[in-house]
Amino acid sequence: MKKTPLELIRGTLDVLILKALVWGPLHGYAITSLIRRQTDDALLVEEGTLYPALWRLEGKELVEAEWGLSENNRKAKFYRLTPQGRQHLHRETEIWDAYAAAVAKVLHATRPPLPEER
Amino acid sequence: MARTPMWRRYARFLGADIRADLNDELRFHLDAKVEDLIAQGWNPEEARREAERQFGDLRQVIATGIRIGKERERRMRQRDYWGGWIQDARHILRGLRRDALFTALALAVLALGIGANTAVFSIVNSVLLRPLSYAHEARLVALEEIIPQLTYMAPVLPVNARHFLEWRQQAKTLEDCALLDASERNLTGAGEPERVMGSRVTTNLFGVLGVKAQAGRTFQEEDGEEKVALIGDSLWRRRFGASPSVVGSTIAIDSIPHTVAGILPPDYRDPFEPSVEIYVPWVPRDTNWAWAGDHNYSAVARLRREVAAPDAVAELNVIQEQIATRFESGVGHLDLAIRVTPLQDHMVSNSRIVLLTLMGAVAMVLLIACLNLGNLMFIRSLARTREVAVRRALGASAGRILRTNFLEGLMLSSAGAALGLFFAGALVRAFHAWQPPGLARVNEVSLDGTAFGFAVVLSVLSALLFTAMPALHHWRQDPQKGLRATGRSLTEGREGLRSREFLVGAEAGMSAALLIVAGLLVHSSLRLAGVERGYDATSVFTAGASLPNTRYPDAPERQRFWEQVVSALEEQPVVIAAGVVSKLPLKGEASTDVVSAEGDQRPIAERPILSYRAVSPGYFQAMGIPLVSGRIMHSADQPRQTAVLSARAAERTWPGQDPLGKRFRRGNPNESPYEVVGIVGDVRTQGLETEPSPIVYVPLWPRSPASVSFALRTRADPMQAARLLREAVAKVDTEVPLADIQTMASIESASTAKRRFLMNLVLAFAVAALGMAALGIYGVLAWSTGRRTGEIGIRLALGASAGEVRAMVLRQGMRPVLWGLIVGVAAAFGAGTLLSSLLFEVSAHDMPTYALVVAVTLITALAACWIPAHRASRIRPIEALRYE
Repeated sequence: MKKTPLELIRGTLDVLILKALVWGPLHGYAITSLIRRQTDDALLVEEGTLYPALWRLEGKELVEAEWGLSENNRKAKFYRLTPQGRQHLHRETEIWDAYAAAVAKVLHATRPPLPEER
Repeated sequence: MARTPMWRRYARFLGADIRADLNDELRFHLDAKVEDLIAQGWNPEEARREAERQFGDLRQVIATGIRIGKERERRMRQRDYWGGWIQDARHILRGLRRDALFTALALAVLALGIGANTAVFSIVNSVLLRPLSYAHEARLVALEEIIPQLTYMAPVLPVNARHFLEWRQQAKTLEDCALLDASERNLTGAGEPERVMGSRVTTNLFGVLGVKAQAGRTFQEEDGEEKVALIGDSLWRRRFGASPSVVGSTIAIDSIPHTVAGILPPDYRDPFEPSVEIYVPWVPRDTNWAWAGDHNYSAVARLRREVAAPDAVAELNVIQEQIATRFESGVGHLDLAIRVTPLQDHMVSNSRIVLLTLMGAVAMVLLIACLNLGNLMFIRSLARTREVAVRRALGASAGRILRTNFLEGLMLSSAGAALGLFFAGALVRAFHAWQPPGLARVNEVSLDGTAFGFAVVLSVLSALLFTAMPALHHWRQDPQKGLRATGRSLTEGREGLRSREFLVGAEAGMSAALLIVAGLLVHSSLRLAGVERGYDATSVFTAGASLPNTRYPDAPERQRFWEQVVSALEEQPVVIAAGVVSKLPLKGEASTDVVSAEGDQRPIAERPILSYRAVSPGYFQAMGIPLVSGRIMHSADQPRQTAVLSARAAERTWPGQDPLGKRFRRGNPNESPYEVVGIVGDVRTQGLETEPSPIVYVPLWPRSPASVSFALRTRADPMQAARLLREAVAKVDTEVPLADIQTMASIESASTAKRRFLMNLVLAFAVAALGMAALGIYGVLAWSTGRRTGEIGIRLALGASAGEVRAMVLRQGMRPVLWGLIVGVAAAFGAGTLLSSLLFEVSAHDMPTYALVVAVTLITALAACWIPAHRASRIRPIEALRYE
């Protein structure tokens, strides 16, 4: 069953990846799998966007990569959060929460706001 | 995630392969997706196709990945590279701190060497290389006249004013030219009367030079001969306290009031007479000046933009020929030519060779120091042979090792250069304080950006030089040998043998060459000190005075003034003799004039032109000039004009005859003739180095000079003598200032000061060079015999005597010294001609000096070699062989 995948805004993919890695090092496929499952199939990350995002995160030293063996003994590249990545994740989460709350206030308003005081 | 497998770790050694990594990563993803699909129930082929479809455009992803990967690799490589340098630097610093003694020594040597070189270079740069501080300085030239028939007296002559006017009018190659006449003036009013050097100049001078006043204005054509004046910056500060109200105020020059029109900028110097501090305007009018004779002025000109100097010379020579034909009818035939010199050359030419010799000397000292340092570094690097071998085995390239070596040298030399700059600054300050006379543009010497750049270049070059030896050694070394566990073999000691021999030979040769130069200079100075002066300077005091024209306009008044002062001096019991003279010995030429012997029918141009001095009778005794025959003139002779000739003057005028009683006239045919009553000894006039000029001594009548020098021979001490002079002058007229009170001896030493300056410095450098060379020779030999302890032990055990061992070591040490000496002496021989202008009565190939220097160098080298040789002979074979 496929739901219509939501379009991801560029910046949120980065923070989703970082959060996915909070539970431990993962390779690329596992990251997409995790995000898909955690959002109940609402967000399907495409490989074409995932890997460039991952590599850019690696370049900014928010994650670091290491080759290893997967569960079925295949060579895979695992990504892991760095301390800077962790900090970045916390900051971005706060920003996202604030943003989401603000948008929700407008969208879920039951009446228009009061006029401004002079 | 499992731990990284071993095979993957090793693959890293093969270098990063971005593309392969990418492929692996994406392939894994694809396979994982296919497996998932299969698990969901798809069949394998369709699963694969579906997976690839979902993957999207692989190529784009791969391209992005490669780009990102390459960038990362580049950044990592950079970090590694610079990290490598930093790592090396830290390692070197640790090593240097460990060998603190070596580091301190190296820094000290480098600081002194680079500092001294930078100081000398900044002097050379400021004086010889930096352009003058005039505008358009490349087109400024000094003009001088040449009369070939008179070159026996002077190869070049100053300018004649009438000729100058002709050039200014006719020469098209010159944009403009200006005339200058410097003479001492009395400055009175607003403070103590003071004697300053002033100059009257044509009003266009500052336009020609391109100089603007720092306050007020410079001369304009309208100034004509108005009573205005320009003062120099140092006079302004010294006498007027740098007060801006000076402009427009009045000062009295030779008792004539002048208005100050402007103040010249602080970096301005008169192009011909650096001590000039006051300028007054001057308009030489054609009618006032004679066509012939009277070459007493300086001229500076600016060439037109497109004109080259030879064109100007050609045009001016044509004008000169026309002038020569003009006065031929009155005076006889004399050729006239011009000499055009770029102004900067004219100002510094006599300093050039002095400074270049100094540069060469100090550079050699640095060279020897670097060679010694190189040897020390080489020894140090030998101790690290094994470490280097291990590094090479682990993959460090030879280039990396060289780089580390050079970095060490560079760190040492930069630190040394930084210290050296302070030292150089101190040296330049000392140079300013000392103010060696005879060196042009001394006040412009400073440590500027060029000197700083020079220090940087020097530090890089010295680093290259003294890391060359250890670097070469490491380069050629077989890493296998370094790794071998045995350490020293019994017959070691050959590494770098040739470089060490070269080092010893080079140092011996260079210090010998430098010593030869120093020795020649010393010999010249000794010769000069012993030269026959013609006068006796002991207990002679001198002072200068000049009478202002306003109050002493007539010759008889001036004569009375001088005679009264002299009598006042002679009254003092402590005074042995006193006199006045128009110009003292060693102070150069004064007025020259024709000597027309009675009965001489030759045209004026062919009659001898000699120096004249006006003297009071007591002068000869005061100066200790011996009377050869006849008598000195006496005031009782008046109104007869009696004269005394120097021996050469007599010989020149009446060759082979007895001059006593003969008569002659001066250039002015309206004056009565002089009668020769006595002959005195010759005296050196230009300097101790020039042969004595022929002099005609005339009495204070009929022409009495306005400015004279007093000569006082007295038993009193200097303070008393100065007081006596001042009081005697004040007794006659309190407003006449006395200047330049000094002993004749100090005038003498001032005239040789430049020579002694050079000699002292070169001697100091040569001795330093010899000392360092000796240390270097000792160090090299001591170290190499130390390494050969085993071999020497074997020799001794096999029956060699101690003496034979000693001789062997000595031979080994002295052989390169001898070769170096031969080359050094040959080089000095070859370079000798370049230095001959610095020498006085000493040939550049002076055998005694060469022999002495060779002997001194050999003895020093022998002494340096003796200690290691002696120690080698005392080795006990048993201990040596046991040393393992």
